[in-house]
Amino acid sequence: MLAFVIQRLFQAVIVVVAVGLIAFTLSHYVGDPINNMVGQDATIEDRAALREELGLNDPVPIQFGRYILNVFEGQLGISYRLGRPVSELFAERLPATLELSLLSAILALGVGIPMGVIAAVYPRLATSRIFMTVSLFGISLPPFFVGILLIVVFSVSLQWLPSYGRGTVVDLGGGWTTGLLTISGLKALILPSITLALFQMTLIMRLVRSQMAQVLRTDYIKFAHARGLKPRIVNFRHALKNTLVPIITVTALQLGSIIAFAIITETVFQWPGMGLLFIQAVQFADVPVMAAYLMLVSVFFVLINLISDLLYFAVDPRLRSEFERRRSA
Amino acid sequence: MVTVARDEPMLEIRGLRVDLQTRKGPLRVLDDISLEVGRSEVLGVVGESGAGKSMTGAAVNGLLPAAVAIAGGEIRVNGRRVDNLPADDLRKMRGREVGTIFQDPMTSLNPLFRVGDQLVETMRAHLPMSRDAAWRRGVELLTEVGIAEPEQRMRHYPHQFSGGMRQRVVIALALCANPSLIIADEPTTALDVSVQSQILRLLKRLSAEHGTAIMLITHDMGVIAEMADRVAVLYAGRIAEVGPVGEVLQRPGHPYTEGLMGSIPKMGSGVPRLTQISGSMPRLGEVVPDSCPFVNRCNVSLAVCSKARPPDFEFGASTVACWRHEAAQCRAASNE
Amino acid sequence: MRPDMEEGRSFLKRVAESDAYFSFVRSPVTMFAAATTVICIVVAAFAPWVAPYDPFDLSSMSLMDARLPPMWIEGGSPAYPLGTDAQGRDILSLIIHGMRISLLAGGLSMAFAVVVGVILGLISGYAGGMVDSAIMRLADIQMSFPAILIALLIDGVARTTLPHEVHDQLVMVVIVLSIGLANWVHFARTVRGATMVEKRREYVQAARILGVRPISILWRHILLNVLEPVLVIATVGFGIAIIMEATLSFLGVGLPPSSPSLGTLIRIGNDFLFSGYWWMTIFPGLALLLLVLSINLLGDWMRDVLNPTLR
Repeated sequence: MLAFVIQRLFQAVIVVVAVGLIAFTLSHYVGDPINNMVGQDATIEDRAALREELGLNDPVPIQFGRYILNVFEGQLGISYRLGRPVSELFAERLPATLELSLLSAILALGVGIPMGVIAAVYPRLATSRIFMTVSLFGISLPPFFVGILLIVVFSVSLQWLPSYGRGTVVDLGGGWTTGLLTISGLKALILPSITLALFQMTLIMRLVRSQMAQVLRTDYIKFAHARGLKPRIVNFRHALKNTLVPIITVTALQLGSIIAFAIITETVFQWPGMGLLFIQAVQFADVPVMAAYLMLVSVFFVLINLISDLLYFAVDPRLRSEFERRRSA
Repeated sequence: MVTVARDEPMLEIRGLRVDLQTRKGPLRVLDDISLEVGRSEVLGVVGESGAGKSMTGAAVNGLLPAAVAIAGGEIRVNGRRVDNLPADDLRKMRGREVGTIFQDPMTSLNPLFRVGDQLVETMRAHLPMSRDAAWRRGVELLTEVGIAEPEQRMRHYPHQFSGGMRQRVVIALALCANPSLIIADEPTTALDVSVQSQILRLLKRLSAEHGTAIMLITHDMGVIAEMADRVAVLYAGRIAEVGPVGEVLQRPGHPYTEGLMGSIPKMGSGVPRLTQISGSMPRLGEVVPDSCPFVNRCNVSLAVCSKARPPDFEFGASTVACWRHEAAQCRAASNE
Repeated sequence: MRPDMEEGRSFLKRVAESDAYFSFVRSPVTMFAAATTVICIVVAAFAPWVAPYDPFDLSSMSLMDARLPPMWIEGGSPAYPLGTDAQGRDILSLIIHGMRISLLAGGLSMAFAVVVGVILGLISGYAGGMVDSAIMRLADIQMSFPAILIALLIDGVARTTLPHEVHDQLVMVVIVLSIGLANWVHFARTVRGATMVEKRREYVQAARILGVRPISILWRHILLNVLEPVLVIATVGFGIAIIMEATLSFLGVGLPPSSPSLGTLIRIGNDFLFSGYWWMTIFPGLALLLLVLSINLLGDWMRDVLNPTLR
């Protein structure tokens, strides 16, 4: 078990270093960092001095090492656009994105997985057909358009819910703000979290349904019926446990893409989070912010994948013994 | 071979008709099948793929595919009619009265559950047993089917067993609620040749010890010869011939059975080469209703064969659906 | 099987009796989806002739006609059935031209993804070993990152490295490359699997003995084998690619207002949402929904027909 964790951690570190290399290349070779830091009227001597001071004349591996060290110390560079340290910007924006993403993830998984299971087990039920139709619309509706439709209905026409911003937030200390404690904060969360959850929910539902339908066609499920087990036990004990491994994969992937789709939702609702910051950075070629966002997101993804690997291990005995065999070999 | 006395058959099928619903209307999958299996008896059901062997088994335990349904006839297990039972009663019958063994032991067991847990849940689905009692009985069952170190093996997952051992586990699962009938659908086809006869001997022994009736579905005449007491030959959804295994193998009454026998090598028989039946079995819906389904491939066919469906004729201890026996039966009748 | 039964049947009769045709005529939804997709493609292809106005012809625009609502709402004009935008352009014509650009971007990106995926999959499956694991590792890592993020990143890098004027000219290329590169993995995995199965077949060994390069034979066989799954993935992927392009354009990193796709139109219209001019954004959005929904319905139907085991 421990060896497995170490092996996976090692792989994770490789991925993060690889992404770090991309981020480093971006921030050091895309555009001229000096040009972005000093004005047009700086002399050549000034530039050379700054170049030396920033260590830009050192060998590339040393520069890369220093970049990684800086990242670990939380020094992510200075935004070209806003002229403030990226770490400071991130600290301000992270709570908004985390709150939105977490709520949407709970919504998407909590509704999507049961819907997929029901649609797979009882395909002839009217409910299942409705789920399938809804999911077809769900994957055909671009996420931003869902947001716009919600705004048109609930903000513009009915004027029930706000269409932008986080409402009133409460500082929990250390700069960590939350909208969960005020009425206006909660109201502001409703539309963005539905927008963000809807697309993921339909994807999760469709994937769970097709995976479970595959499991339901296997011989061991037929044999379980032939053994005279109750359909409820066959479906929800046997089939569901076998669907769990693909469900974990799907969940991990979807949690990852919620972070990415948060960019879209935050743009539609002018939600002051990381995604909005990133999209503005892309529009304005604000390389330090782009690079740092990339690093942060990759660490997040690697963590999610690591956790899902560990969960497989817990669910599937074949993986456990295969791993032990390989280790002893 | 002596036929076991069959006062009360464990399984009795009378005039069973099974239809596949298609968009062009129903297609007859099984047509007028009548069979019975007695206590401790092994009935071999043989035929080529598509003849309806597995459908017959599935009809008995109520596991027909969605588009397939019983259209007529009746099925009795232990004298009780089961072809019209509601779903939950059928479910209670499966495992308790009718055990099932599938072809591929590698895929029959759920990979994520321990063998012991699968045994315990099957027993407790049918019998009022505590978990501990069921577990202890599971250990006994594994011993009975010839698995060494049963206490440890109960805690193992299916992937830790070899193919032959897994099929033993499957047999233990089929037996665990003491059913009176076992439907074994190609139980050895997926196994190594060396393991096949071990499994067959095990089934035969268990059948004798527990008095279990076995319906053994196979395409392999060798398996029939080794295992069966009686044999039913299926062709295009109909029964061509039923009889004691010795009779049918030595003195086949149906030209199709004769052809089947010609396609397996006989030790020391002196036949220089194997023969094969020309043509192929008619597909679903291609059988002309008022004819013998074998007529196009038969090289001893009569004029009547393509005009009327052959009824069952007595032929020694067997029953044969072939017009060639009409004359023989008339002669026998007039001699009386 | 009776091969003689199959012979002599005309091709048309076979088509008419095939499961695909049957399930097609039995499903009005699928027929509607097919009709909608075909109409969208035809209208888009002949946009300059079909559209009532040329939205890019400045001389035909009049600010007098700006912000007209759809014709069935008071103040609307039958001359502009779906209303006009802030510059007095006909929304219907904008949608027709926008659909042309959306379909073009989506189609080209999918074609690019198919080419990259098929080639990498073939190399990976045929070469095996280090090459295979390198390509598949790359695929794994990429799959764990959402496609939209990868497309955004590629676009971001292009925006930073290329001078502004060049980028504006190349924006279609950048979009196609970034969406294509974000979607090659499914194709590569399918082709790789098929290649690994095929390369163990006897005819490949025979070709090797005869001195023919096996890859040239493999190529044809594999293409035949993977045609159906690739078609299904490409259809579903086409819908996704159109949505991705619309998303990029909506986020303001896609196609510029000078050559607006449906996504760009929604973005522009969105700025006027709170002024009450909802038609500027809702109609392009509904057009996008209709198009993608039809493509997805076709994709679902194709998957069911070509892969009956998944039904």
